[in-house]
Amino acid sequence: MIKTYIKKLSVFTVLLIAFSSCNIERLESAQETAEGGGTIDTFTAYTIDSSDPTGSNVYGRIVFWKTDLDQTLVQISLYNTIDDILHPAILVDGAAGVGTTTLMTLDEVDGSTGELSDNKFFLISDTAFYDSISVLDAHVSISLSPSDDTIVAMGDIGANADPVDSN
Amino acid sequence: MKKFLLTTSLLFLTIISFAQEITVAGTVKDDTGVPLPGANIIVQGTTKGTITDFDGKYTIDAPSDGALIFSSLGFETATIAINGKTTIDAMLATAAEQLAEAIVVGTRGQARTKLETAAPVDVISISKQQINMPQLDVGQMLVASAPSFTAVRSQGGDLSSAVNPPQLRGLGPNQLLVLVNGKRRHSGAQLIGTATGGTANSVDMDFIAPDAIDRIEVLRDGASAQYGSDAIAGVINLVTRRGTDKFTANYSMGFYTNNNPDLSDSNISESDQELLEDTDGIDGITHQLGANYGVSFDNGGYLNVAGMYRQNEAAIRPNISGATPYGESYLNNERTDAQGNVIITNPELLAAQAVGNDALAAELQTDAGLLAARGLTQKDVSTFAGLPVSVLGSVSYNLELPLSQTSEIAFYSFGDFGYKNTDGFGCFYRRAEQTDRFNYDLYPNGFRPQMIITQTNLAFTGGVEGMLGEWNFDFSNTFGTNTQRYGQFNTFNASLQSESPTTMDLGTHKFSQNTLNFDLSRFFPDFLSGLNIAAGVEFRLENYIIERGQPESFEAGDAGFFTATEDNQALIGPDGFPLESLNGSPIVDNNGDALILPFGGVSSYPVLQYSPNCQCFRGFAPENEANEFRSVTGLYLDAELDVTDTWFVSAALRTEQYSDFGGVFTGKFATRYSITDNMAIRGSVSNGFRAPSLQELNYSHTFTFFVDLDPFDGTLYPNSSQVAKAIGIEQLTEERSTNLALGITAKLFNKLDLSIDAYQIDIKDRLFTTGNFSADDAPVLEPLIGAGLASFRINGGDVSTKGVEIVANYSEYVGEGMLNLNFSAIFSERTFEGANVPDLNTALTDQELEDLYIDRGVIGAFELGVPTTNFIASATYSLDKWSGMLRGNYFGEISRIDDGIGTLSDENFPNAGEQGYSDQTFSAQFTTDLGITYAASKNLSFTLTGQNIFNNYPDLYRSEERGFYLYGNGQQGSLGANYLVRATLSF
Repeated sequence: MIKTYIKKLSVFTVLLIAFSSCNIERLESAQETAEGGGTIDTFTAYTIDSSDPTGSNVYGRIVFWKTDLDQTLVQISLYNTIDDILHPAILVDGAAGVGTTTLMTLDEVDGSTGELSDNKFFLISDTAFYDSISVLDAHVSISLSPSDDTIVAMGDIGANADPVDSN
Repeated sequence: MKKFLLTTSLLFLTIISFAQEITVAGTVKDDTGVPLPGANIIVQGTTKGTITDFDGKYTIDAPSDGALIFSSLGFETATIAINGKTTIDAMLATAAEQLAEAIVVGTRGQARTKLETAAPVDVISISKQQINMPQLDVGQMLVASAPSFTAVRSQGGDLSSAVNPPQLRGLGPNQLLVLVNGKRRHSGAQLIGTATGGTANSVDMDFIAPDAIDRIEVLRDGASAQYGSDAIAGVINLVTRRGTDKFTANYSMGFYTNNNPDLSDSNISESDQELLEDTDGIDGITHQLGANYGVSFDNGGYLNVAGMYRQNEAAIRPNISGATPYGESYLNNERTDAQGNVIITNPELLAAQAVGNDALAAELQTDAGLLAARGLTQKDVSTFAGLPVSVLGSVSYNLELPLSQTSEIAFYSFGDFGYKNTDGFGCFYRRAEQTDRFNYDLYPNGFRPQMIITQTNLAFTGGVEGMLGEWNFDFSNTFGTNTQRYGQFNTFNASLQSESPTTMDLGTHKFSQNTLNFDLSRFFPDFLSGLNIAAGVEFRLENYIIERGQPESFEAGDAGFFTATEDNQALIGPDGFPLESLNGSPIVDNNGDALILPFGGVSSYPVLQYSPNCQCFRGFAPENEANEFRSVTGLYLDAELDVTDTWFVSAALRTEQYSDFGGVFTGKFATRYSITDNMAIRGSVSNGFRAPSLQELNYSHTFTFFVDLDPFDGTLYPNSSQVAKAIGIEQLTEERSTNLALGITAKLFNKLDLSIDAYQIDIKDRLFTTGNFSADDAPVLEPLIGAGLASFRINGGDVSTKGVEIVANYSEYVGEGMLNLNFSAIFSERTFEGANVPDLNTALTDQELEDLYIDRGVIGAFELGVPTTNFIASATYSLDKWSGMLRGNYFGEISRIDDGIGTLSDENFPNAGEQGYSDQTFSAQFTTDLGITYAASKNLSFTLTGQNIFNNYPDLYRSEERGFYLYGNGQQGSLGANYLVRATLSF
């Protein structure tokens, strides 16, 4: 009698164990994304001052952000820009008022928003650029418009000025 | 005193001498001499019984001067006196009568067959029907068998989907009393959303393993006077197996075909149709193992042990809402944190810019372009409905032990323990576009929060029953408890941002119930044609507990705050511009200047107002905690009289006294009159009640709901709260009902059993939940709820339900096999009779208040949320080693009534382009089930069975309402065809 019980219970136990081995997986969230995303908190910001002889008083900041891929994102934020006007922005060799050679042409600043027009950031792919900013002998220059190269604002960067903010 | 003792001693001696039991054995055969396996044998006047084995043999302990009732599907019932014989063979004549098991629910007297009862009772023989049924759980088996029965499990995979709720006649699951072997079953801890409007606590049918059940009796009549609270719509009694003296086991494996219906004629876009067609093949793969073993003891007792284990994978039915997954600020890397730091959300765009690929960059600045670049589709970022992943296990036992060889007193006990884990996905997808609940580090593409509901369930009954002189007595204690622990994964507390856990404990609900019963009954055979008197007392103690979850699940964090580091600090970012809010707007004063925070280290400002608490479901917080007790004392008197051989009457009176809201009296009168030997009329009138459950009295929770994909936070407050008192919401009182029933039963042509029963149930003060009150609606709430919304449970209005139920069974030998045909139908109407709106402290007009107090959506759900017309037609045929089942299920049309005015956009419905309610009627549905079993040997059989085998889906929701579900709920569900194979072992 006991053997019969053991036999019956064994069948049940084997079935239960075999059955319990099935796995049920949980659904995972979609994590697919390229590298380089996330919050950036490494930056160096410099002041841009008005230099417009007509007194438009355009001023603001230029911020260099270092991405996780060591790229540099350049952000320009200006007050008192002129609506519907695009202001060319360039990095110029030497200190403000001294150098004249263009180091790098950035995107144009949208006068309606005071920020770069095409994208919020201008991307510098050179992974060594950000770490060289502090010794860069340069300044940023903002022109009135593509057809009028009157400089309405400029600001020293790198070796020519202390950052207004950095992290 | 000596005289009393002498009398008592003599009485006991008399009982002992009366109560001599013998073991009777024999064989049951049909009128052709073929043994009948599975035939029922019941000791007359008791509920004690057994069934025959495969060879038609049986043994049973019975009083030597008693009688045995023999019955079997499709055969006449035979009653044979024992007269001290230990061997009794029975031969049953072929008959039309089916399922003629003696019924114990609804009567405290002599067991009757279902055509002999004064109220309609369905008997579903699970032990016989289970083998061919595609349904795996008891609730769905009942749905497939009893037209008045519904068990609409939430198809959203949400919290409610963790419970399998029984419903009768379109009323709530807590307006139906569930018994196990005649003892009150405890409710689950959760208040679930129901298909018929409002919330309700419910017995969870999942925890009762089908393998443990012999049959289920469904009493379709109010029975509060007999059983107490909750029995407004009726009573279901699950009768568990006794000493079967065999081991049976079954293994089932099933799946959904996951084939979408043809949507080419719908207004779902072709691209979305392609996505819906892009399934991963069969899904919802389910494994179930059930086993049962019973042994009869030599002393007449028995032990039966059963167990069940089931696990199923998810069956996902995605919704294609067309909602924007990312949005402009995400695609253009324009988001910042509370300090103004840049958040790169589209690194693919930077990569394209780095290589100067302007075309790719432009593509990546679109939702479709970025989704494609990441290898995702709209389906990956859509809301899911369907069948959640779950694991369920249950073990149960049923024991009876005679206390001595000479007495008729026996100890009995039965109980079960169950565990269930459900990973529901019933939350809206949190799109990355929704800035207030977004974190790139945790969920770069948004996330789909999922509920974890872990339940443990315990039920235990112990008692002693037998004879004291001429009186039957039953003294028992039943304890039941259900614990539900809620959690969530794939979630976070947005106000904590990256510091938030992504898996959280949301809290625990527990409901416990202990019921002590003492019942006495006595049958007077010589009073007219037989009188049964019963009386009893019941003492019930209930406890409901809500425990808080982990703090992160309900608290608001400060990740979106900017705190000044120096005095008079401007609220600007590294770029010198004012910090921006979640929608990208600069935070400035009236002059357009950045705000100034005056005190360094102290002053702060909520720059980014991230959504607080656990996403999708706020954890239960300290203010939600409860630990409430209630006691209930009940007393009843019940009489059943056979005035003549053809006229039966019964009456019952009951009073119950509640510790928390007073007492109630109920009564019932029922009668049955046989017009001829084969035809009878029956009717009943009764009143009933349902006390608000502890869950309904004490549950509170803050929840997020969506209107056109915009989230709002609302709180359901208990009626004892300050908020309820401020607006003038009163304490809940009991629902009261009156039930009327009238029916006819007939046996026609000696082969067709027919019953037609009409009923009407009027319920006063039915419980509903109000709409959401804002501080604008009720200014008195402003200090208490601020910008939130408040809702309450209320005795909102009077309702009625009436209908006609038809049940017909026909049995006939066709060829060498037995053919059984069954047809059942319900035609019903549910009506909301009117709102009982109190004078509340609001700024609303009377009409506005009534519309908010009980909105039209809730009323519509009650009246039309589940079908008012259902048909079930089935045929079973057994021949040699083969048996088959074919069933058709007709679900009448249902309607969804909208609760708010919006812009109507679906061109297939009237008034497109205008403001209005997006009401919708879903057409009637028909599904087909099929089962075929082959008995490979005496011990082993194989079954192929299918549910909704033609893959019939209900109507699509109109386009305005496709935020969560794609198909209508309340009929056959939207999972499609399900196929299952089963092996059944018996030895």
